[in-house]
Amino acid sequence: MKKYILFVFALWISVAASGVETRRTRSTYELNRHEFALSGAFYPGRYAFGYDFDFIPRTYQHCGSINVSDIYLSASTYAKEKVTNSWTFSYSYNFSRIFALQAGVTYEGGWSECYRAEDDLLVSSISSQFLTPMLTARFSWLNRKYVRMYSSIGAGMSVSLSSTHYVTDDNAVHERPDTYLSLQVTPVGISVGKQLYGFVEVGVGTIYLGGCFGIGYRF
Amino acid sequence: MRKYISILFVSAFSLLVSGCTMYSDKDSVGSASMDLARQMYANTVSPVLYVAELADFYEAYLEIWEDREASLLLAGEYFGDSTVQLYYQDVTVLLWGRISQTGVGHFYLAESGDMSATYSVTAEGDRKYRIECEQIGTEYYGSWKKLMTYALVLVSDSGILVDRLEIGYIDKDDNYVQVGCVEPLKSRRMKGHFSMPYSGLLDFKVSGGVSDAFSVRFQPKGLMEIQNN
Repeated sequence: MKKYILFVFALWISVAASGVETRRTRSTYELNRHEFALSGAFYPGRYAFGYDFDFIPRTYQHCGSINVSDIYLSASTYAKEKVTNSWTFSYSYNFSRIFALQAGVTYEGGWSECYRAEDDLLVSSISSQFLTPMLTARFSWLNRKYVRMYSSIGAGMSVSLSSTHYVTDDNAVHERPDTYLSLQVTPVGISVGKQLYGFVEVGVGTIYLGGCFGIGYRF
Repeated sequence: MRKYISILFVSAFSLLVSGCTMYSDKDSVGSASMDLARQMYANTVSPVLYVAELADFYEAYLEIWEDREASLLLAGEYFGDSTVQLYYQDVTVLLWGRISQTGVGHFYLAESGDMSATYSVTAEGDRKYRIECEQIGTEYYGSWKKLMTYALVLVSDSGILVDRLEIGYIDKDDNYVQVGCVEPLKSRRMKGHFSMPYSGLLDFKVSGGVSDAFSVRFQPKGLMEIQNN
């Protein structure tokens, strides 16, 4: 964690320095309409808000009965969680220097695995994985040749790749993936670079919580 | 400058990828003996204490049942603010359970605990109660096969003393848990609040698919300590 904080601090300093330099060349700024970007976040939003493996049935006991085998099995196992960061691929169209619309797809996944204590053998595993298409409105409130600062808000729908629910109609029962409303608010984002650029965002939502890093290309 | 920024962002992605899997231990290896002792206490031992309080109250209530006000006051002394339904034939107290007359002297039937077991209670005089149970588990109430309980309990104004306690429990996989009272369990009167014994020693023997043997010592403030045999 400490190395991440140091890294963010170093990044911020470099961004600030490049901002000073670009003020001299603001008049030459030209808007590129299209952008592709790839970003990743350290703390995935669905994991933060959406699912929790604490309810893994490994240690669940029925009220009003005692299952001795289950108790001893539970005590001889341990659980680990594995969570991917959330990864987003997006395309943005800059309508003007101020306003852009972004369409992105985000993936995040998490696994809760149960291991046998005596030999670390994997006994069981459950997973939660989500694909989230999202539309984001982005407002740039600082435009320089190499530095742009912006805020954005996005809404979309998370589709679960691992859990389903059942819908019945007159003819049959149909299986559908679980879906959830997804929102992301980014109060501050900063991009540095011209055609090839990097960006850092601070935000909260179901895509990520805290911050994310990204790299993109404008043309 | 651009070169440095590119290097920084490549580094950032490397960090993201390296931190891609976040492992965290959510549950450490627990004590199965303690888990079993806690569950056995909650499901099979504590109902004995509840039933003893119910029986002690019922004996006193039957002497004054015609005086509704005095009966409610008495119920408050025993069960605090818990919801109480008072009838001559039976009394129901939220969380404690239900006790009813059988028509035979000081012999009652009581239901208590999450296992919804029925206990027969014999008031032997001087606030001493013999509590017995032999019940087959039903599918509705969960996956267990048999519960057998024999207890002698003394109730006083200051506390409850479980002088003798023998419990046999068979779960759905035919594991057999035997609980015996080595040192009497002493508990304060609950007066509407859940209370654990503050002293006493119970012996546990597990046989069947699982084999284990241990003792549990009750200590003040609801603490239970495992003592391996």
